Amino acid sequence: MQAVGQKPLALYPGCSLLSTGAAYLASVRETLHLLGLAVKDLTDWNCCGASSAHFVDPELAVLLPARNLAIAEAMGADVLTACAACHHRMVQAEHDLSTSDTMARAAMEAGVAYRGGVRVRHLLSVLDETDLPGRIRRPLKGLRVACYYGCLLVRIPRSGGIDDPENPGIMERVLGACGAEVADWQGRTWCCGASLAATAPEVAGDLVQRVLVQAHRAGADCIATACPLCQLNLDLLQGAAATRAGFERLLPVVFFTQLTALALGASPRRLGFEQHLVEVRPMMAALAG
Amino acid sequence: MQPRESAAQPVQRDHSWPLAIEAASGERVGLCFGCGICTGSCPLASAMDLLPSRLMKAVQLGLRERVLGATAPYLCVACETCAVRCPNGIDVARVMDAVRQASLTTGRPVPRVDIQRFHRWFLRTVWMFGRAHEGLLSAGYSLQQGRLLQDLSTGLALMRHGRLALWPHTVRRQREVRRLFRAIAQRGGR
Repeated sequence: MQAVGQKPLALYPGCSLLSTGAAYLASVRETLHLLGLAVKDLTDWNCCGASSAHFVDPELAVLLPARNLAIAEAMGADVLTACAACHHRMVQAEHDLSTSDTMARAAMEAGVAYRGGVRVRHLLSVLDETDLPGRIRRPLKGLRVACYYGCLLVRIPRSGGIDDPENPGIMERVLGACGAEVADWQGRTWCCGASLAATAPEVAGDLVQRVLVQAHRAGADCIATACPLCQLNLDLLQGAAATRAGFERLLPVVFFTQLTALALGASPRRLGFEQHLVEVRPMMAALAG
Repeated sequence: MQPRESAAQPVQRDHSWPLAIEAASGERVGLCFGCGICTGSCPLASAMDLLPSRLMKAVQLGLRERVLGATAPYLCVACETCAVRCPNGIDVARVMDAVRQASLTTGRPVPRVDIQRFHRWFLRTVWMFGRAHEGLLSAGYSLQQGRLLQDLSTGLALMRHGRLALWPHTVRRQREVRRLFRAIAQRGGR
């Protein structure tokens, strides 16, 4: 699959994909496998710092991802991300390291030998460039999907996100190629509340409800995300939000890779659907019907 | 939500402070002409005691005490909507970062100590294992907040669904990660 002159990709799973987002990692691996994309894991990777590093210190927010970039450089690889937050932090750090001498020096002094030139690519971008329609074995017919981008994938100031920050279409293209019907809806790039779900649950709950109202209005069968925290918040806080808003049904919140893997012919049992708090059975029924 | 300050407070201005925030954030706060797009776009504005555009103005005016006492930078989750919409290209979220980081080192009470604790627990687990440990983060935070019992049902629900890994995932060359933290501590960071 790899074009001539292009570096191989090394997968950076990120911490959440080993825990609350395990279904994301399982379905990412399944998708890559079914596409015949041989992707190694980034060796001995560490946490990207997520929102906590830049909460306390601007340099820590660059140094943590810098070590991963240096590892990729040593492997002669570009980085493949799935988690939206990891993607954001890695792209931001690469940008800061290559444009700020202070940051580059700080990394060097902290023992990170990164010279530059590593590209950070999100799986959505890779799939967007892959010939998906030719490889679909089980089209997602009858499934109406609300593609949810949230914040971090599309809004990376200076370096740019994976698509237009106000009106992205990359997830719609990928899932559309898998045969799904993609909903046109407001709320695609709204915030889910991120870590405020733990620290200010009433505030995050309100943001989650705002997104869900729009997805319901669009008549979606499910919401697809590319972020473990968006998925967790929309899944975990949905019950309370539904009670407050008086929704008649709950909306399954899936990782977009669970849908791509299904379309590529994976068994649902390998995709971690049992980890979802909101039951995915109605979605599966829509898919079968 | 914190009560808003009354307008009758004596105004203390620190004219060098805007420059310090510009240096720390790398953003040109002085370019802000107060259009309010950041505030209109901010998903957390309704929960903030100092709206993003007002915070920008307050920084410009050098209202150091007012800004450092605000909870707004603690509620900012860096969704970056302000940054991609600002007509002057200011990344307001980075200014929020710089203001929060400044408020953490002044020695005064932290405006939202609960939110600070959450991020500290996150980074503590990264220090320990090289990778974040969501279980320890949630347990540690809940315990410190004295709400372990209230949060227990959420934790159990996640565990029942196989979503909370108990065993930590560790980085083999963990010394390298700790060296990053030490480098920050040595130059007086947090």
